[in-house]
Amino acid sequence: MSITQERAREIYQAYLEDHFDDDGLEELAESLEVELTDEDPDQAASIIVEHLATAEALEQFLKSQSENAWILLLRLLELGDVHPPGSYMSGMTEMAEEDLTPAFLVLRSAGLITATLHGDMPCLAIQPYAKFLLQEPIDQLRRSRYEEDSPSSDAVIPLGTILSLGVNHTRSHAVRVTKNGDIHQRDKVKGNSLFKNLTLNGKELPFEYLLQSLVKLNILGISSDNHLCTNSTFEFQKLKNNPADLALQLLLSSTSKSPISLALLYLAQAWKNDLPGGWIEDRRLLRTAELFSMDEGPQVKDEDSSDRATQFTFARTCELVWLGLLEYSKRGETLWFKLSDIGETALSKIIESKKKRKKDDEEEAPPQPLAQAIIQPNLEILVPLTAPAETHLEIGSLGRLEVVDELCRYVIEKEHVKRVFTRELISKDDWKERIKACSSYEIPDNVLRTIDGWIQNITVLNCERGSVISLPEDQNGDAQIEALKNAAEKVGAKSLGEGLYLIPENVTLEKVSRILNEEGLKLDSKELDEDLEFATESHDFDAKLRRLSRNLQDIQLYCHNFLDSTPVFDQRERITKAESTLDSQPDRNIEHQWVSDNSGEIPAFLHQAVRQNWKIDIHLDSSYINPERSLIPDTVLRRGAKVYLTGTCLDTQENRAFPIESIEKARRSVS
Amino acid sequence: MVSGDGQANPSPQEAEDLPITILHDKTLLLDVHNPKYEDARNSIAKFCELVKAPEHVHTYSLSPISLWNAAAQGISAEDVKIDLGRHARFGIPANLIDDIDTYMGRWGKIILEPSGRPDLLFLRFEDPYLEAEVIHIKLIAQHLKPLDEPGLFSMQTHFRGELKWELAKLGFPVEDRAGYDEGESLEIGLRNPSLSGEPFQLRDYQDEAAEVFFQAGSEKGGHGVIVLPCGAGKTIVALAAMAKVQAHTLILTSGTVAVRQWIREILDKTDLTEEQVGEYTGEVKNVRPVTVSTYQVVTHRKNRTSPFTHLEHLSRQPWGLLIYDEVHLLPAPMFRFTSGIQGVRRLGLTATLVREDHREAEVFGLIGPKKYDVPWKILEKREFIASAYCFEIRVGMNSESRTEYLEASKRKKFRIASENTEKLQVIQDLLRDHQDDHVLIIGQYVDQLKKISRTIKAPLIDGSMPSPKREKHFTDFREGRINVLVVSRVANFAIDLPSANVGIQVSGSFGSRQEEAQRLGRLLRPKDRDSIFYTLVSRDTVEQDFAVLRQRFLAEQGYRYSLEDRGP
Repeated sequence: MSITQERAREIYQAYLEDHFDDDGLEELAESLEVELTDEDPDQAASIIVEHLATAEALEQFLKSQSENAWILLLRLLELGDVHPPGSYMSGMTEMAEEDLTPAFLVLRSAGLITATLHGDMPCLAIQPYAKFLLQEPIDQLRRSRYEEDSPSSDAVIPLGTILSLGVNHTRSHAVRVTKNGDIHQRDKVKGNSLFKNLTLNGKELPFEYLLQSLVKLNILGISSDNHLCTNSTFEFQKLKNNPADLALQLLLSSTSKSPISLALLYLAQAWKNDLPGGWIEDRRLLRTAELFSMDEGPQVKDEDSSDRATQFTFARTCELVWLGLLEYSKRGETLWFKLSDIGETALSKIIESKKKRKKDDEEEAPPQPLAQAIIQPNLEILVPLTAPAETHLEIGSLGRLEVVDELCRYVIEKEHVKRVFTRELISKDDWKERIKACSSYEIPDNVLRTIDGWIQNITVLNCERGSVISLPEDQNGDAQIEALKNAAEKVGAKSLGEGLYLIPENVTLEKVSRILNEEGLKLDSKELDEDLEFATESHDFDAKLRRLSRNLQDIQLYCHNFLDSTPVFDQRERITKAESTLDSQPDRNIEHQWVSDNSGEIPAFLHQAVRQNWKIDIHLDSSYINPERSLIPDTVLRRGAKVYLTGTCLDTQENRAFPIESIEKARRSVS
Repeated sequence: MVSGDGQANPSPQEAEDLPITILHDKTLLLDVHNPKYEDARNSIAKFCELVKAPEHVHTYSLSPISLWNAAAQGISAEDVKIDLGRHARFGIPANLIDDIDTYMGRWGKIILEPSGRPDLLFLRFEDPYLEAEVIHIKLIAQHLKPLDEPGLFSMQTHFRGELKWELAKLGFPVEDRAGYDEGESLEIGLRNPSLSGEPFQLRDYQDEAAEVFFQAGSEKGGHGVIVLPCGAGKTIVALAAMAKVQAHTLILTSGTVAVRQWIREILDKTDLTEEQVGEYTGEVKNVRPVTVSTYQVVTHRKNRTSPFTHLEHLSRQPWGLLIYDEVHLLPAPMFRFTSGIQGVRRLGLTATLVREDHREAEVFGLIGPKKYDVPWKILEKREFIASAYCFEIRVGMNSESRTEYLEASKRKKFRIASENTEKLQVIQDLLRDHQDDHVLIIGQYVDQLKKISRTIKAPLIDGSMPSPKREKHFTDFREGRINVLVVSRVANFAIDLPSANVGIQVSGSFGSRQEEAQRLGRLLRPKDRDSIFYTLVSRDTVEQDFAVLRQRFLAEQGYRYSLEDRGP
């Protein structure tokens, strides 16, 4: 609770006139953090007399001693209660750095500020009563300063409108700007904005620095009534058609650059292909991201440091949403985030620029070892908590995090390695370079070999359409095998195993027949008509062709990982070839006909529906009360032993997942 | 983080140079490259347990048992905190300070004392709050009878083991001052030279281990486990302990061949005569002042409801010392037996604290805490055991086997991968490289081993082979008449084959760490050349996944581990 100095004066006046009541006394005492005692009912009143006298005296003292002290105090009071070194210098354009120390000493000698330790960090702290004492004169000073002229501008426009050109979130946001360019939110956030929902412990999250970045980037100017406006130079014009660049510029501008923001983007990308629709629950994202906030997050290792780290990380998440780099969705009480298309673009630019920078650095000087991680032959990595977030991301992502303390202990595991390299977050060569640079000691050979082994076994599914051709069992002599091999080469067929080739779909059977004839072989269409079942193996995956349709146009591949028999339905990004081929095919489902489980076509149909963003109807088996569902499918993924279709169920408007085995038939919705 | 009590905080620069990082989960990471490593290791070894010792950073663990053990040795909580504070780079986590105070503060608050009657013991509580807490535990309370003196209870002597074990599980250590039954005395002396004429003297660590166990006969000693790698002379430590206790001794080990090896060692290195040393196995049943038996025999019974006749018979003898060889193998029926003989001195011997059934705490709770250990690498450095190099050779599969593998169920996949026929060629190549060495080929599947045995023309020892024949092959191998032996699981434990210096593991259990330690242990007897341990693993199969567990374990023991590719 706090009271204004004006109110304090009223109470003081009441005291002097003997109309002083208990409520006033308690109000005053609480404000002054004074404990009242029965023995001395006039205690608070005495203190206020003393303090008011002190305030007047201080005011006179400060004004006589140093105008800069006033400016510094104003700045500190605006920024908060505790200030890490240097934080208050940002925007102090009217005070030279050499004036800071005398101003600081004046304030300190007046007892208004003290030096303190916030965790391990030396900080300035404002004495609790300083605000109370000096509230009135400071307000006066502020008012007098804001009444001065501000730079002229073209037009006043809301910030939300500006950013909505680049991002999808509008925000009705009135801001107040100080003469020196500092920006402060004036009003509470209104309207249908993300930020209405995103408060922590009742506190709004700070976005001032992003606004300052906009000003700094010359995108925004400041109007005469202290509102943000478009700048006359209007650099923004250059950026408005490129939202990813705009967001990136903001993110990487000096005031907003934050490793945790980058870490969050990396994480969102990392999860994108793992979770339904790429949505990641806030708790999960924050918990993982907290690990990376150590070099700029709270330094204090006490009980509530975790809360503050979460708050800090959450603020960064909100900023990313605000910049359009992350999307958000609220489901019940839970918030979900995912990497937006803008974020994807921005992240790829960051990665590109990092690669370029790295290349430039390499050309200029050999990489200096950071000597931060210890990689042990038992597949354990020890990384100091204080190592850069990127070290934790790139090295730590290979293992399961066991303990977070001053030293984080990761255990390298196959699943983690596979996840990192499957997503191509980092190339094998880059990773090796990186790990070598970060490692305090030579990396044990067995660790490199083990990881290499895992990387080699990452299943790459090349799903292609075409015709399969092989020799009949009674004609598979060496000569025939050689002849078939030659023919296959001529038509550009791909070997699926000895004597078994996949002919590209753009090659007609007439052509195949002709080339086979040239090699002394005859194409037997009867053989092709038969349903075949066989297993094959290529250099990077083994596949079972379970079913071959009569016209050999649809090949359904069930792939099995070498080591764990994991179907790879969920590796959608891998099926690039199949996508391009399938998409170019006449759409056989365009007629909205039911595809039934009996024909075995449901998985292929669902993949197509996901790719082409169809709205579909599905008919579930009798275990469902409501077997008829309409939905917009999101992805097909594997969890445990089952393969699921996930998507937004249009009947319930909820995200749902259905085991594929439960879907008896499916079709593209008529509507 | 705080520094250890009683110590000035090290300056940031000094702290930078300290070798230990203490994590809040009670693990300590010790940087072995730090100049203060030795000092730090010696300090913390008194109250921590070494968990793993890979190349750069060793992990120690601070557990209630390790703290109680330290307390039992007279180390105070303050000592522990000072030692930790002296070496901790980031100070000691506050929760750990609290745990050290709490756990060590409990030591000596519940004391077992002799009553003057053999069938009764006194239990004394030094802390009324602790007393109030314990007597509300029904399982404990039903055995206690309050006496007139506050905090003093009486209980039946046979409840001694169960009481200690139950209270330890609940976090309350019992200081056992009830002493030991001395058993029937027996004069045992160590020979030098040995009967075979070889010079024989205890190594410093063997002598130290025996003394740490015996503790000059006080009740502070007399029970516990000595952890030493295979080849480091655990048997010798046991003989030294027997010479200190000077009483009738029962030795339990893992098999008949091991029993005979024990007897051979006893007769060779002590002044006991053949009449004083008895074998109690499936074949011979002699109970003598020193009797060597197997876990299988003593826990044998006709059916699931019959009594353990051998166990009962042996437990009635006047033993003054019980020795559990390969104590990590202690079968469950032995738990109760051990619990009932807490009055007898008990010595456990093992190379590994690992039990695949995770009942380590139970075993060590009953036999006693770990009393002494020396990391394998240290003994290797001092040349008491051979230097060992581990190679994992990844062997490809031919297309036929690969197809069979791909089509197989998950369970079957492991077997197919283990029995990969291409391994045979690799074995032959390796044997060519090691023509002058003594090679053990070790495997899990007898069919596979038979095939190997036939191809390379080397004898196979498996479980079906009678003991005399088995013993003959072992002797031939020991004495250099044969250079290659193919062995199944029977050779995993307690077989002394000092000449073996190359091991080729062709198949194994599903990544059993215990098995790995034992198999490598076969090769570690000190000799004039390095030991090499090959593990053949089928490439791109589940076997490769399981091999990662082995790799992790061996690296944690500090062994160099290399990977190599062979085959198609």
